Amino acid sequence: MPAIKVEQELLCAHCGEVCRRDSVTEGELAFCCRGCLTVYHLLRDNNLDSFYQIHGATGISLKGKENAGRFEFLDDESVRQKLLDFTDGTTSRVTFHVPQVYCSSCIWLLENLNRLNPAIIESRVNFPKRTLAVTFRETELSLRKVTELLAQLGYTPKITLQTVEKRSFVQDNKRLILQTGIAGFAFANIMLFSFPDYLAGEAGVGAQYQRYFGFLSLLLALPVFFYSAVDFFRSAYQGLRVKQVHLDLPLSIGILALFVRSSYEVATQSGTGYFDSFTGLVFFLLIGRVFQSKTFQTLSFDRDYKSYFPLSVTIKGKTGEQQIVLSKLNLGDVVVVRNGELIVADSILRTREVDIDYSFVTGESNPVSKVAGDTLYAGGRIVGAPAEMEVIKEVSQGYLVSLWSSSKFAHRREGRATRISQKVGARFTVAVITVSLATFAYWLRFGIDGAITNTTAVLIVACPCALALSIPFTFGTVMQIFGRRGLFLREPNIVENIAPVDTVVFDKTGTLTSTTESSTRFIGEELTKHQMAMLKGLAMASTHPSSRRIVAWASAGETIKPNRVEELPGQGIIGLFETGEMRIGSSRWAVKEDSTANKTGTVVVLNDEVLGRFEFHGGFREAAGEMIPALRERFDVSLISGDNAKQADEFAAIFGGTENLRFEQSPHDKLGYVDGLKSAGKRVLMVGDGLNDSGALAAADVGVALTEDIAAFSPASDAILAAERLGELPRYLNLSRRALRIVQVSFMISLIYNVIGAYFAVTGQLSPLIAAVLMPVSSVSVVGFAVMMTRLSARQLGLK
Amino acid sequence: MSALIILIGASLLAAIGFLAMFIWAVRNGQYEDTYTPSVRVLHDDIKPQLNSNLNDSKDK
Repeated sequence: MPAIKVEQELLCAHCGEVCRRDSVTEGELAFCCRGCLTVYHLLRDNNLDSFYQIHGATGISLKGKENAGRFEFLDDESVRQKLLDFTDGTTSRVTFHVPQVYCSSCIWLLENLNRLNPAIIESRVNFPKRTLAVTFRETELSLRKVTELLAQLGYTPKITLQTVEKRSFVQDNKRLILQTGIAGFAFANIMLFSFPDYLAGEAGVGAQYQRYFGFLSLLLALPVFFYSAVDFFRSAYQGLRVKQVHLDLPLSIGILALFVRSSYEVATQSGTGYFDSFTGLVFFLLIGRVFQSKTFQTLSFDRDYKSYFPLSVTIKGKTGEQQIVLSKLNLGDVVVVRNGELIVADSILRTREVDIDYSFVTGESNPVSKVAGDTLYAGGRIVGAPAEMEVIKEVSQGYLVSLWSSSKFAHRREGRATRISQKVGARFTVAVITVSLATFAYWLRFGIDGAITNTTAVLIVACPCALALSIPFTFGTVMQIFGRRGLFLREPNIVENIAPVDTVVFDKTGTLTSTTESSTRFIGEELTKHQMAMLKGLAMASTHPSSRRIVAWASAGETIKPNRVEELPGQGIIGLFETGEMRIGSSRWAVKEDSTANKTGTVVVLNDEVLGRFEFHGGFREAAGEMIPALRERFDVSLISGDNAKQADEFAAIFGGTENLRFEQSPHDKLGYVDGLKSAGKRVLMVGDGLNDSGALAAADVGVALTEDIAAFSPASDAILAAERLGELPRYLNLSRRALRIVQVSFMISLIYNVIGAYFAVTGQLSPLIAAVLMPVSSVSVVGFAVMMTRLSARQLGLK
Repeated sequence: MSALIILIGASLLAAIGFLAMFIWAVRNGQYEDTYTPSVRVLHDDIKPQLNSNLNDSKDK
């Protein structure tokens, strides 16, 4: 009996993975697959084998990715034009998104591309953004060849519909950094000019110097007013246009009053002005924005179907197969979709039978079998042999795309203004206008000059700088703490939406259950050792998800390799052993008599005798069992699932009854359910993972996408949560709640400063010195309080 | 005392020089990627080898 024990210790010399069956050896080196060997050759022949010195064997495994690169569409002129950053006909530059870059040896290899092909002039990696910019001579090397070279190395660039349609995938914050730098520069220098005046006391520094310093300060303040501060004015104006008052309005009034009053004083030589306060204020405010803009660049929160659809498809024409650009796909075209490729448009299946993995759409990983004539919806992935299908709907009108066309996606929660900033901003503006009018009226009795001076003083001290800073620093700190613990927010202001949440809705498949913790059950008589070894050997010969689960289930024990294996896509797998023929697959196909044919699951048949069948269930995430009862103490918790109710009992135990459980919900049902909760006045947080949840995620006050792999797929959402952190959800909710309270307290503190300042202003005693002291003290103390309290709260909640 | 005026003017000019350098650095993209250069510098010593005798260096 040929029993082969799988060697566990042999590691691939290229990628470092364990070499299993099909491994290739060369000299003393072993490789897990042909792909890895090819890359090894490529590197060695081009003297790039220092690659392996950097981190040992850490290349990208090419196992099962032989089909990864089909790039004929890059020869299409319109695609080329859109992809290239720059070209002068001979030299061109292109920026690729390369998500596979994960360590320093990747960077080294990709930056030495010119060794592999001299037509490449320079290649630069941006690690945080996972991009690679390649400059190359297009006369010698086409864009397609560059892409193919990368694919050959295992770094297949991700070129999707979105890459082409929307050029910049990462926002540019150059402008903000420049604004901050200039404001900081002006602030520091103007302080130097102001100090002598403050220190000289009653006598002053003398008219000559005062004029000189005043003039220099004005000069330095000009770029701050016209460049650094301009976004605050713009934001306040935009708010006013949509009849919305938020904190930027009183901020702008304060900045404006400071600048005009100071310029006037310098111009008329009646004083030195408040330019140090003015520039310092703008500088601090901008620092707040810089702090707030530190988001997670590698994560994308606004992906729609365009980020997942390929740029090209293979169609079967009169002249055989050809690649065409997706936009040129017509109704009635016959598309050929290979293993692992995505169905791009709703179509009718032409091939006899095929398995489709809809996990991309539904989160459910068990493939679905379809037969010729069935309608296939866009978003499914083909498992197994290639399938042909006829397109019946345009790409933009498919089932999947219709989810995004829902009105929920029309309103993107944009804009910086948080609710709290609007609420406070409106009251604040009213208060400031009232007090300044009263001041004006009072001082008018003593002359118009004094009235104007003291009124502008009120506007100056009323500038809510500390108030405006407490939001970005508190929420920004919370976002950083979350980020370290696996919850990534799209922007800090999402914290404000999480805080008032009172209802939590979960998706089931992929969210509360997971494929990695799935349970495999074998129903039938106990298998003999020999049968088990055959079963394992046969299942190992297939890449079908069910086969992989069977391998995992039968992991211990020996393996017998079949002499011959035949895989019939969508049906099953046949292996010929010395002791007979074994079949694993659908009962409809594997069992000759009809006796058990209507049973579901995967049957195992040995020499026409049914040994038993496998049932696969999504396993329950361990963390969910404790987390949900804990959540129920303070929140309404419910479950909406696209699956049938076969696991309902299990869930009823955890959710405390069946009234909050809903099964067999379509994506539109889910959206409707969340909408219903919202119109009942609930604040809803939705946790989901598949595209089928995307409507509900967008409709909820906060949509959290759960994902096993942060870099991989997740639907558009407000936050992305690493699956292994699901159990910490209650703590995240608590911290957000506390953060909102911290912001409220910091508001109170900064209001006290405003009242003190207003006292000086109203009584006509506000000197530049008092303003210069009050402004930084209030800002720094409020920011310090906010950050410290947030960190303290996080530690108390065990989130440090 | 007029020496003071000249000195302050000179110091301001020097400061403006630094500001210009800062603006150049930002425009040049030096603030876009603050991580990769730190890795790149470690690789400066690893030159692609001229002899391809990997078998010796790989046996570990």
